Amino acid sequence: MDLYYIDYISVTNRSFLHRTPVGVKMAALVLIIAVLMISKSPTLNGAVAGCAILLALACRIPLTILVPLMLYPTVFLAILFLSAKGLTFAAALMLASRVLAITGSVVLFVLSTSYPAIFGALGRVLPGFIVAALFFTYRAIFVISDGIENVRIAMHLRGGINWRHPLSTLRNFGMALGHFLVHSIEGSRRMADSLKVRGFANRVYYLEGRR
Amino acid sequence: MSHIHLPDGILPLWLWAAGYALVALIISLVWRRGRATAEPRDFALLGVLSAIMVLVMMIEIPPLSFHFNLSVVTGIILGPRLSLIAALIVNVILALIGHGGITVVGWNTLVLSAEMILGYYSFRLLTRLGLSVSRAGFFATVIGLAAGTFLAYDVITAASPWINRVLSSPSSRLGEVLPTGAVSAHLDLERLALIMFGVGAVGWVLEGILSAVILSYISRVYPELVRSGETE
Repeated sequence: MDLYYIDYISVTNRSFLHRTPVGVKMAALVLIIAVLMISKSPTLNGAVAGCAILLALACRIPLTILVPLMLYPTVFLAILFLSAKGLTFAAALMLASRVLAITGSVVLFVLSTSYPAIFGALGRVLPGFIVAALFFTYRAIFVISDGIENVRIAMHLRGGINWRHPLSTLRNFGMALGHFLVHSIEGSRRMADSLKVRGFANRVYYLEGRR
Repeated sequence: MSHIHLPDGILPLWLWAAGYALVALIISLVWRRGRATAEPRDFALLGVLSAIMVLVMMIEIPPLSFHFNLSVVTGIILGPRLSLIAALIVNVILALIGHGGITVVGWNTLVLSAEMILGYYSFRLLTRLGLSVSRAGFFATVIGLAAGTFLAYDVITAASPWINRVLSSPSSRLGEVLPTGAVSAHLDLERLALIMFGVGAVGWVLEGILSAVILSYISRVYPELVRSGETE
């Protein structure tokens, strides 16, 4: 999944959901999750998941992004179902609908709220150094994601994933990742030098209302 | 293992709240309630390595949705104190895009940081015992990931009475009377162990080989990163 695209949608769209203050959306999300956690009704769960999809459509959020993200936890759910004995269809439906509804709500929140705005709101309750680490990671994802694409291309040029030669495949992948790591760490040192010059002291400040 | 493979809505409130509380307590102790500081260089390194973990975890190998973590390699480079923060950051970002649950972030952070920290100390011990960087990297990764899987399995085992209640809740709500001899829905812990440790063991070895290659490469290009380990 392309984090670039998720970020692009959350920052550039101008729908009513995108314009709603992050605190209000966060409170609504907590409330929805709390209700879904105790809900045993597949109808209610399904309605919430359906609402998430309808809201996404109304806010011009592509379903090609929302739906795959919503469906990802079904992999975890499949493991749970495989490990269960005597599971009824009703229970499976209730759990699946609950998981889809919660994930749909979370993903809709992320697709309509920029990461810096989320981290800025979290900064009111979390210690400064954790919020700073969140901002650094977010920034680094975009700085280095081209590099990981290069790793993917380099792997492709060397024959991609070859199941007949797993050791050679892992070796190629490891060398490419090792090179990428070293390159990224060098970049982080340049970043650190500029932070030092700007007087960084374990905290990043987010200016609300300015995206 | 890197995550407890449970989505939101399965674990009881007290258990996932306990996960968050435990993480808050450990971070508060390790970082002296936020009074401890780190160099800008450590923050930048933490950001870059957490970002690499997020990006690598998003590269899935078909058809099993299997992904590498680079948790132990990151743990070896960052050291224990920063690993704890990296584990939290990675899990928060992944949970926001549906990869793992929001409610499970606390326990997932503990599982991931256990992998990283145990991997870090195992690597240091094994290199002191005279093993080469690549061999020590391989065994440290296997030890770290195995510990993470055990911890994840233990959390699920502890939660199993409540998970069983969730699995059989629709029948009990409707007052359904089970036929004689029928057993209500429950988690088969033996089957779960088979899935987690069976499939997991293959993953540990694959990630172990990958980590060995990466650490061997880094030790040749940037030896101080894996020699000293601790960046603090």
